[in-house]
Amino acid sequence: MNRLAFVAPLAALTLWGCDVQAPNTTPDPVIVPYVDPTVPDHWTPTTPTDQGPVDLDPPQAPLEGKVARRITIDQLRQSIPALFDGITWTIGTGRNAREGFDQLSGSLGEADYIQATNENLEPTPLFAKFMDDMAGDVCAKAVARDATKPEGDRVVVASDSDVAASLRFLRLKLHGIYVPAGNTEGLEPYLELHQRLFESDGANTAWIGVCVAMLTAPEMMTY
Amino acid sequence: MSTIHRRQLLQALGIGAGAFLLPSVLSPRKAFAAAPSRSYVFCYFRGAWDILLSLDPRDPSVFTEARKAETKIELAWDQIPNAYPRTIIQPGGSNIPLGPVMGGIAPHYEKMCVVNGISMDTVAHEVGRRYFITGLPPRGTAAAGSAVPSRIAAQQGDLLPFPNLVMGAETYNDTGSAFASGLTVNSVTDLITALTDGPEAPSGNVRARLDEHRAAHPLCDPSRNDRRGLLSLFQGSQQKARQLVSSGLSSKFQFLSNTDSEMMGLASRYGINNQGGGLASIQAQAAMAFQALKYELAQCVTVELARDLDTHDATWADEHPAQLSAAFDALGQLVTDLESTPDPSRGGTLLDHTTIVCYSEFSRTGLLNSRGGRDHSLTGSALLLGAGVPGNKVVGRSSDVGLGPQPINPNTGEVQDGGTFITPTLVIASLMEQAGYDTTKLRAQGLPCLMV
Repeated sequence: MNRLAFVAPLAALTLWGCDVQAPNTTPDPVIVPYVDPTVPDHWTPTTPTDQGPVDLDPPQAPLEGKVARRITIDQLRQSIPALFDGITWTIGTGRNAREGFDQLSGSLGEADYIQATNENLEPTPLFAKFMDDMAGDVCAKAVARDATKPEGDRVVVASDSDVAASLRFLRLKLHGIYVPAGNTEGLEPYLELHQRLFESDGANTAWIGVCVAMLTAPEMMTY
Repeated sequence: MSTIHRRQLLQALGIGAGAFLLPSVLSPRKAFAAAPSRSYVFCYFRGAWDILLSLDPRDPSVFTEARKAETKIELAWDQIPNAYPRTIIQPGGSNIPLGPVMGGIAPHYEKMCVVNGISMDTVAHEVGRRYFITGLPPRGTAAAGSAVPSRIAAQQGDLLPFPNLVMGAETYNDTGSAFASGLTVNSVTDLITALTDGPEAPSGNVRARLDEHRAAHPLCDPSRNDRRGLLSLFQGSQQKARQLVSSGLSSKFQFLSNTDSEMMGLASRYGINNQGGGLASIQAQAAMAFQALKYELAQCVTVELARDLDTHDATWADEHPAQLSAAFDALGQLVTDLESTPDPSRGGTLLDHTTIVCYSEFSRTGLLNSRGGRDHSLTGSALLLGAGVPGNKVVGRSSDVGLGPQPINPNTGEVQDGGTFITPTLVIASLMEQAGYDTTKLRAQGLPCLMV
């Protein structure tokens, strides 16, 4: 009797407790599939029209083409003797004469692969100044030698009688610009320079001046 | 009431800003414009300097021969010539202990800041050199960006004839500003040559007609050939070259002249003579740096003040102190000259507007090797002087055992566990940030303790 009196209320309490559970207010979590924004969705089937019309031949920006670059010292070292029949830039005289491109290699920005591993190809004032020195030296020697050679073997003054023909010759040789016979397009500034120097200093000086102007022109120093 | 939309406001602001900037874009650049607000001299000590002899010495009564196994530091000052003191040099009032070879620069302690315990992370010469030259850790052995002088010159603008004059050091430029490229000369003779017409250069009538021709000569098809402005730049350089030559500045670098009193004075002060290397000597380079700043020829000048410091053998005892001592003597004279020369453009003296940065690839080991020389150490030091430099100060310190780099408190510069290791990047970033230059490319902020 005593045991029943103890167990019955306990059983009733247990049943009551099971019935009166607190309501669950937390909603079930909604699982959203993760979409990595950096990875395109390659696996969901689509049709080609889902993304709208496609322009298969979009308008293109005009091609820039090659950008001008400054000529390197080694290109000059090899080009100048080729253009002037072996004449090159020298510093000093007699036994002390040294090739200018070698003597001033470092100051001209050439890499020595010890201290400098990249060539400085900026058209700096220093480079421009040394190119004036180079052109003055090379042109003076070339014009002096031309005076001793027949017209066909000359490197600057191709024709004594036809200034325009000599300028066409130099324009093609130094700037790579062909000017047809009878045409003076692009030659006018050089004709004027030649004329003014010819009147004041004579033919040789006029040709040295023209040669220096053409050899140091941006058309020669860039490519 | 009419409403101003955001788009209209921005449009108006854009037009206004364009109108404001237009004159500066259209007007031609002056070849000899005003001096920059800050000038720089970078002094390169080639070969890795011995910091025990110079910037990071130790007390010889504490770091004795008997304790070298414990400290891994062997001063060996008894092996250097007797001409040098065997003690630390520290003038009264100075907070900077200096090694025995630094007598020439010690009097300028009030303008100096020594940075010690720099973590160079390399013992390869080209890597350490390029680390300090660019302020960025090299990629392998290749420089990872512009040289600091190029970076600074690019931000200052094309103000003086040589924005970035370099002698005896590497230079790199990826700033996009061509004028900021280093103008490298091998010696003062080359600089004089650059400022003087060659013997066969056009002269007289030819020169006059040539200049007229160039001024009037139109470019060939500029819309295509001059898209990036290279041809125009070349024409501008030709004009600038003529201005340089006609300025007569070459006479300011003829240090071996027997007739010009200014040149004779410079030769005497710096010790320039034919026996000591003449115009290729380090003394001539220091004098060149002074003249280039005095006559407003350059914005940044780099010189090589020591050349053969890589002494792994017994030559360390004689040659290393001699090289360092000569370099610091020349540097001391340069500082004296800058300090005593009024700056007519910016007021004060030249040193008030000039920052000097001395660096080497790294330093040398604390112990002598079996050949009596010192090998490469990962620790570096730097010497900063002049404008924007906290004077009479030592930042950082190498460890008392083995001279290793130690972290510091970035605010005080004192050694602190868990602090920041000083790197060349942080030193350069501090200098540039203090002067108001953009340090974005360095990806680092300056150390407050290095900025005043």
